[in-house]
Amino acid sequence: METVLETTALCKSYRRFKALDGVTMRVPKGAIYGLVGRNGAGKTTLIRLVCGLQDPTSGGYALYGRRWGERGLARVRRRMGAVVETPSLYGELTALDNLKIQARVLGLPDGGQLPALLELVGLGDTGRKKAKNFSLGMRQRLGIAVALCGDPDFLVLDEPTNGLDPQGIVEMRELLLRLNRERGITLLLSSHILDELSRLATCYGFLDQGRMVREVTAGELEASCRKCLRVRVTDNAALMRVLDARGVEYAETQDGPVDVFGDVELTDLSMALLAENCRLLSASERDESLESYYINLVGGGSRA
Amino acid sequence: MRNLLSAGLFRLLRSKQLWLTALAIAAFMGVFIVSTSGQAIHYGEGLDSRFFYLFLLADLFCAVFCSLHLGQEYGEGAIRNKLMAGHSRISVYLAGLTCSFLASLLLLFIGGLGAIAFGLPLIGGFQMTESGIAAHLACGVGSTAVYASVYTLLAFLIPNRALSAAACFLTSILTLSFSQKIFSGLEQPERILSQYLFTPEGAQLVENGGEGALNPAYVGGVQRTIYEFFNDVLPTGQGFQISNLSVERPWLLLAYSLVLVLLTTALGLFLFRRKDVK
Repeated sequence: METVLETTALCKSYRRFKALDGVTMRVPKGAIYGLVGRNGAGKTTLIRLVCGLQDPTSGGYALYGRRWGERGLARVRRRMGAVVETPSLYGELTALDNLKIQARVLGLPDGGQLPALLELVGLGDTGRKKAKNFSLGMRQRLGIAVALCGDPDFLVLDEPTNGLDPQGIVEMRELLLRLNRERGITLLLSSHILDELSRLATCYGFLDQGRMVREVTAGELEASCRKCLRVRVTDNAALMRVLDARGVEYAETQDGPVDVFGDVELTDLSMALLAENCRLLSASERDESLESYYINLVGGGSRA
Repeated sequence: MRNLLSAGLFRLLRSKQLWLTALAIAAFMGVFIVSTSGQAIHYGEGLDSRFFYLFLLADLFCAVFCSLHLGQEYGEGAIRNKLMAGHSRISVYLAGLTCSFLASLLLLFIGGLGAIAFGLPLIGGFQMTESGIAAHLACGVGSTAVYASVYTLLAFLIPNRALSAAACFLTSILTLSFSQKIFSGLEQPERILSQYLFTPEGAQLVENGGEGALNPAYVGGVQRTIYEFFNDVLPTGQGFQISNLSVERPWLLLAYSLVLVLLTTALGLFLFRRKDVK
């Protein structure tokens, strides 16, 4: 499969602080790649390097096969659009004027295709309203429109739903899916809102403390996300003693119930709990979410 | 770079900051000429005695405009769009410098129009020869190029718009003050032919006779050479010479301006290429 972006042992240090430490990753063509990590994991740093805003300390990356430092990389960047952190807009200009400027930066005619671009992102009726008077959601969408000006086939978005209200998040998700499915645009999205990313991404890269912990496809993630039995009892300590005695893996949840992995015979468990003066209140089957998968991956929460 | 210039000019012409600054300069020159026209007429001076003060103003309005205009590129992240579109750091910097210089020229032009609009009916026309006017104008444009170059350097290296504006403004004030001190020192005559003595009975005019008395404030020797050097090299020093219609070596001043533009641009490019853009 063709690769749009590939990084090889990418490192970035700011004085003594190592923001990225040997990150190797691959974004396939046509994918929606979810870059997952907590605040300070290195997501934005990685995006800044790939977008050419900063140079790596060591290692490298390749965009459409052109390696960092090669002459042709600048030309290949025209195939890429990006919104890094906040949208880069001129506040005193209208939405259309912002697009016209970007078209000129790219050396494109600022003709009829720009109003259509505004319609695509839902800003067709902004008229003479200045960008500084836009809501956050509108600014985010205008930022994406600016990134789409050059008709890119690779779009990099750094936390695109940051600060949006629930409706804004839904609209953003629908727009991104449309861009991927209708226009075939490869997307690299960074986020720490896992639930939202799980509705979009076709593959994931989990970043923690500047290191790529794991890369998985959505299919692989689904396969490895384990089913469990969520059990609610009157005495968690008693339950854990019973499970330890049987060598069954389990994990306490934050709000009380215990997730039990592996096969457990409910009747047998109930009788064992009764012997410990503990009553079984409820038991339900659950799949492991992206959130718990991530937390287990980077540490915290699980006991085996 | 052509694309960047096209985008830069598109934005420049729609910039409220530019047109408000132009209006302010034209208004200032108008007020200045109106308030000093009586004096100009009394001493038989022409419009040139007031017009070329525009090039002293150039330092301040370049500092303010360039830092705010370019600072906005950083503050609103537009500089990222240009780099992400594949433009080199050199292109981005030179396009910014060119736009700053063109904006400064436009401001000078509008300020000049304001001066002429008020000055012609009140004071009359220029009294200098055409070659003199051309020489002073050329030196004025040269010094403006240095201002644009210096303030572009500061704006590109200081991402924070407020800090950048403060740094540019401070640089402007300090260099103006420094050049004013130097120019005043150089203007002191070597000998004083007459002077006022202030006694309890009042001021008395005393003629020194002959060649006059030595002026203790006169700057001579090596110090004078150093003063003259800074007066010619610094764009603010050149501004004082231009406004006082005392440019004697225009080619030397232009050469100094060119060297300063090249040095500051080279330094700016060197540092900007190494800067991590956030």
